[in-house]
Amino acid sequence: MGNRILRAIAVFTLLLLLAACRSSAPTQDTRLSFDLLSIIPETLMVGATEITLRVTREGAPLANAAVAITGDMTHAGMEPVSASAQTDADGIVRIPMAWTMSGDWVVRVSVTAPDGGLRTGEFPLIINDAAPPGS
Amino acid sequence: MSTAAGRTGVRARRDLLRLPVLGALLRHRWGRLALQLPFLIGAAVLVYDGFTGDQLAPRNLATVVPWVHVRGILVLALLLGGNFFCMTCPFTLPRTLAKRLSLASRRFPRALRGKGIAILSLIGLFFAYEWLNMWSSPLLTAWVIVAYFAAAFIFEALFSESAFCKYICPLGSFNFTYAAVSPTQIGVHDADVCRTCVGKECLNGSYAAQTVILIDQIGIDGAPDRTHTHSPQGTPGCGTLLFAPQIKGNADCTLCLDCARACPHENVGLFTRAPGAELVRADAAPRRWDSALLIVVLTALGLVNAFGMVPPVYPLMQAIASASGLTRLGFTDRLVEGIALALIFGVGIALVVLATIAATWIARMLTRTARRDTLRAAYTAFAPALVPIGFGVWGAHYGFHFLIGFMEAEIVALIQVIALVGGFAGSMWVAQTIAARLYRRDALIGLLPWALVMLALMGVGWWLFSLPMEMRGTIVFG
Repeated sequence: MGNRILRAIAVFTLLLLLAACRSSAPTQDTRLSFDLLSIIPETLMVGATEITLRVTREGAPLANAAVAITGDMTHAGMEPVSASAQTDADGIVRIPMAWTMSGDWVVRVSVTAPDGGLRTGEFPLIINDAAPPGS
Repeated sequence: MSTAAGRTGVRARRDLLRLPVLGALLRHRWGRLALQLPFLIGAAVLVYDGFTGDQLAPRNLATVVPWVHVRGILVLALLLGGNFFCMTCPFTLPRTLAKRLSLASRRFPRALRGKGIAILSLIGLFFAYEWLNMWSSPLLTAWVIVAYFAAAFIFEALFSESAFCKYICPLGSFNFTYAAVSPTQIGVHDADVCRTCVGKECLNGSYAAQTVILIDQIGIDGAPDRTHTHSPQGTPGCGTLLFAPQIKGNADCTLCLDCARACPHENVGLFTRAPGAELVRADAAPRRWDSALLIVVLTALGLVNAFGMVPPVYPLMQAIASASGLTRLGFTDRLVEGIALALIFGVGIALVVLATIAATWIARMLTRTARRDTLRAAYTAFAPALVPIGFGVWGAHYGFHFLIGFMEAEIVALIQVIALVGGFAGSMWVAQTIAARLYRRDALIGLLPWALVMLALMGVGWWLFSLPMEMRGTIVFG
């Protein structure tokens, strides 16, 4: 009986160790930052929108940075949406996104500078099925 | 010599345990363990990822696997095979350990031996799922998995029978209820063998180390025709205390197959049957309020749970909060949401329960059987009719989450309609069979109130699934 319990504990521990083989998060370039400037249309609804971000490095606009956006619903199982674009000379990037469902979304932004520096971040969005009254 | 077809209820066709490879695997002493171990490994990985992984639900196994894949596969498995979820349930592994460590042989308290706790645990689970946005929290889901292991262990250590599975587990209660539609069922080949069986090992287990000589197999000259040797370690009997020849349906059966392994006569089998066969059997459903209410409450929960994820729920909660003055009391948004949600759950469940009770009462009046049949007798007779439509509602809901990630929304919607209408048709078929049995010439008028309730349930389901599903956890009151 004792051996059996020990064996079970050993197997369980091994599994946890195997599960621990996780790749570490990429290093963040803290000099990079991005600001959400606007989302058009302002009333967030299912369908097409345009997200505008400004990317800076140490406060100065950063041109030619690759910006990738992924939107995930907070409920598992929904297909994520994603898009990418490059910043212009003013560090501005406009990315078209098509929201497929109403509900809570988490938007993850990944900025890759021309020299390879990486900065990621996220912000929440609530997408409506129809325009709220009074909007 | 009687056969399984004649004695154990449904018409038995084929014993899956006698299939060449599958049967040997399932009947093997470690057969269930072999099925459970991958799920135990899976559970360990889910817990680990839930505690340490990306806390965005779609990126974490702890939320993706249970709330998307397992639920979808579960519904399919119940429909096409049987209660394979309970069969492979990893939560019962520490349960088995607890059973072997346990010194106590107390039975679960008599007053609690029913489906009352299961109903409350189901309501509690689905309420917590909505209120705490469990679907969006890997961490919380991981804690629920851990709590499940702990609860199974504690209850099995404290009580002699599988109290957790039979009386408490909300997932098991869901499976027990909807396994009624499954095309398989435990039964026996020859009920006469069971009648004369001395050890009743399917129920009691086989722990005798010595060779067992069975009285029913002692020959004319006094010498045994056949002897049986139990394993020194033994095989447990039915954890939920079902006696194989008396099993008339899948309720309370975890498909652990211990009965088949323990039977020294190799008389117990897993038989194919007509799907839903037990629903129309007069003697299959227990004549108990709690068993009937489990079916009815589960049907209501299917609708309430789906309602919690469509747009009208948010203005309704806002309206409840503002009309009741909750927002002016300084409560947190979470607490206000909990109170509003509790009200929605309470009213939703109460409406369905009261509608079914009223339908039963009216049917008795219309058919002039109020003196012959008590309300309980008529209610418990008709309650199984809600199993198909309830299953259809859950299937439409879980099917959506399971399929929407890789299938066109229009096709998913079509599958939802098929599940819902199929469930309604199944319920109507069961209800008319029950009405014909109870009311004979007055069957049509006796069926009418229940048919209207089922039509209303389908209508509500149709409305809910026609709305855009909206997974929203963020609600701001005031």
